[in-house]
Amino acid sequence: MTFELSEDILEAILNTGEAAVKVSHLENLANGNTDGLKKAVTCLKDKGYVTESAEGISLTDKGTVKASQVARKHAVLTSFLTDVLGTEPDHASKEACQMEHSISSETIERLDTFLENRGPGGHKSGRGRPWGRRPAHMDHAVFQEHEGHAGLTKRNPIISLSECEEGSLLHVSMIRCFGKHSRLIDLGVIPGELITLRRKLDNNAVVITVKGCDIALSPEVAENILVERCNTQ
Amino acid sequence: MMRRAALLGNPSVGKSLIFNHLTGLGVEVSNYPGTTVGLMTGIVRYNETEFSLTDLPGIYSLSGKSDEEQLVREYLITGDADLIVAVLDAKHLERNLYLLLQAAEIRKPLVIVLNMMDDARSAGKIIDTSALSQKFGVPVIETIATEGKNLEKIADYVIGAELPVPAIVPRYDHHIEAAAKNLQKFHNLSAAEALFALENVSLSTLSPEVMESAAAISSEIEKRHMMSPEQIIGANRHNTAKAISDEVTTITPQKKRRDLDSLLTRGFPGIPILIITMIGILGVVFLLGGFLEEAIISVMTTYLLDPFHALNLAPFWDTVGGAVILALMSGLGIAFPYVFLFYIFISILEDTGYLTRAAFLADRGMHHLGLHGQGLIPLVLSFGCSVPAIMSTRFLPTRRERVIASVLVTMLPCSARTVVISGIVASFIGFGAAFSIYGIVFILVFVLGCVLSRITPGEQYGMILEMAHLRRPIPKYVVKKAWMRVREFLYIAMPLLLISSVFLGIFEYLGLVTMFESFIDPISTAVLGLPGFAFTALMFGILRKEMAFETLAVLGGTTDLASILSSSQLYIFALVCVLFVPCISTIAVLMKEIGVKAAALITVFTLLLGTSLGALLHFVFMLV
Repeated sequence: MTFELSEDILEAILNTGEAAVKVSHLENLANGNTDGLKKAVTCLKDKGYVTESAEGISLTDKGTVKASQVARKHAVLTSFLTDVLGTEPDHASKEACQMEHSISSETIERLDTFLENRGPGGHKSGRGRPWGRRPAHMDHAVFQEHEGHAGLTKRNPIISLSECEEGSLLHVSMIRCFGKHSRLIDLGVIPGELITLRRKLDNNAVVITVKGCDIALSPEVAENILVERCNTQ
Repeated sequence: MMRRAALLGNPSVGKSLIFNHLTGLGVEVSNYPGTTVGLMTGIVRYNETEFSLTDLPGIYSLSGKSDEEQLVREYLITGDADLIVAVLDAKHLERNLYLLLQAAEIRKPLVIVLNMMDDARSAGKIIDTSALSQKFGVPVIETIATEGKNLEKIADYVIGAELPVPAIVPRYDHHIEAAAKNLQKFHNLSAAEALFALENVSLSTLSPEVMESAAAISSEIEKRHMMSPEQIIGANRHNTAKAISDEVTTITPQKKRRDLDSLLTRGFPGIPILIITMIGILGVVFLLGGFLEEAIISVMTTYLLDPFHALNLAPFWDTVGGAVILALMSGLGIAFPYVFLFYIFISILEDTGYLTRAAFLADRGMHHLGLHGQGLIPLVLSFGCSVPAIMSTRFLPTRRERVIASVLVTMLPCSARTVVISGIVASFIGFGAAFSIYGIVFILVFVLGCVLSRITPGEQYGMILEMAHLRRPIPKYVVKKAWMRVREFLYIAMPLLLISSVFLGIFEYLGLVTMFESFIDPISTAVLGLPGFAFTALMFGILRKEMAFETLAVLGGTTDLASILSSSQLYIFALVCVLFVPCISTIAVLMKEIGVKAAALITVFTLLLGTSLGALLHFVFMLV
């Protein structure tokens, strides 16, 4: 609980937009559990995320980065819940509050790119990302953390295999409607696998090379394979 | 006790070549209980010892849900195989290791055969076989099946000292490992069985309770990983396969060779090439097949039927004997000219690897009919003869597609029906009328395909098809494959042909045919506008479609059909003959491939379709 509460505190301080926040303002986060709140604040101070002064609690640089990450997770999750799943906004925000603590940065990144590229023209035009641009310092922090995971230095949008052109080198990210295409695993088309798009007909039937073998796929199978362009051509 | 070995491997890794080479021609095809998938078993005599060798269907994984995969899984777990001969394509070692890892977990004695070593070498891949052998803890044999190289070594190992059981275990996700351990302990399963249960694949040794508790654990794991255990296990195996393959393979970069696929799989010139190939095959078989059929029929008439009638046996025996000879003529008249010739060509297309490219290109068109690219083959074959066409539907991945394809194949005009159309309509009415019959049939087939693709039960899966490598076919094996088909066809169709022919003969002898004629005459005249004898001729068409034409001439007493029937009557006769009730051989094959119930449904459906369309035409002609 302390962990989630600490993250909530950081997020709340960031959201007020003020330099310092009184502990009393944060009490509603802890549901009246003042002891727990005190403990969490002490813990945050120990880790160097916040400092306490006469005006109240303020975020350190390290704390700001951490808080932005949490806030961003919250925004991405809320957006996913409302835009994609159609959850009612208030409810979505509450659920996002709970999910943001356990979701990994990797998943958030993927979810973010997914939302950004949801189908060609999936987003209504004129409507940017609801959580706005990332602050510059955050990009750095997120990517540093990210690099270790996928080994890709730059993120590419996740698109369907049908949208790629002949000759592209691709990373498989995900297979939709997996149950229908279980043969794909047998042939080695699994998330993380590197594939080449050998041939694409005008009806979007494709031939891909996986593990040195050529495999023909119908258009409806190809569109269920989500891929990411690979930069290391 | 004779040892029993089973050949296991991915499709087109040269398993059948190895099987053929070791067993020679003495092969027995048996259906495994409850499936239509054939298992070929042969006895190998080597160094005065015998062992049996079973060629399992080529599969990519043991955990799939297709008939073939279920059969192989069941056979390896519960069947009587003493040891597994795992055949791998050395050029695509990594992909092939996936199935090998699964097979290794079954813990039966195993020997690895690394085939196509020549291909691997020319692709610049050097494989350290002793390292591979060490990894799995079993012997590895390097072979080149196309040249027969080292194949006798396989026999050496099979009859030699007891083979070791593979020792390798892929590293699974720790949740999977824990779950598998639990299942093993509580339900007393083997490790392989526990994994099958987690992957939710059926197996006769897994009770419903086991499947239930496995499903409960699976859904837990799925929640935690956001991936089904099937996917996790698959990914773990692939990772292990990749690690092993990377460790034992050294790759030297090679110059890129000219790639025929840049011609064959593009819309242009791929599709024109495809059309020319298909029309070419059809034309050759049509011409050559027609010629051969005529030759067989005339030779048998001169040397068998005529001398038999000349014996002047008692009329009853004369009729029965004549009917038997007629059945033989019908059977052989289809088997050699059409089944054999078509399968020669199809085997060539298959062995060169072109068939998979054709399927890829045809996929789009076939979609309208509720089929996929592979459905092209039966449809093209059906213009020659429905029998091999229906036999070829077994290459289609789902039952749904097999049923749709079988119905359409039955409807499309085979060469025998073309004889009826050309012999009756084209020569007595005109070419325009003959083409209009084709037109009507094509429209019906298209409409039916569209309707069937919506109403046939079963899910529509997309095509996922590995492109076989382009290579030169070996004539000996092409002929052998075609010969196996002919034999199979004769086994299926001959009994039915004999029985029905003899019955028709006896009916004729007892005067039932004339009774039938006078009985059906009023109905047939009223509904189809055809005299009784014409309808009787239609019934004879069930034995062999051209016989409708021949019988009409015999019963009508003249070859100038225009003198006994009007143009509209001839047109109706031809249309009904083309559409209604497939011939006996077709019905026999339908029963074998898609079951008695579906075959009966198709027969009744075509009967109704043929007669009602004939009646409709009759009605229209009367109005005009």
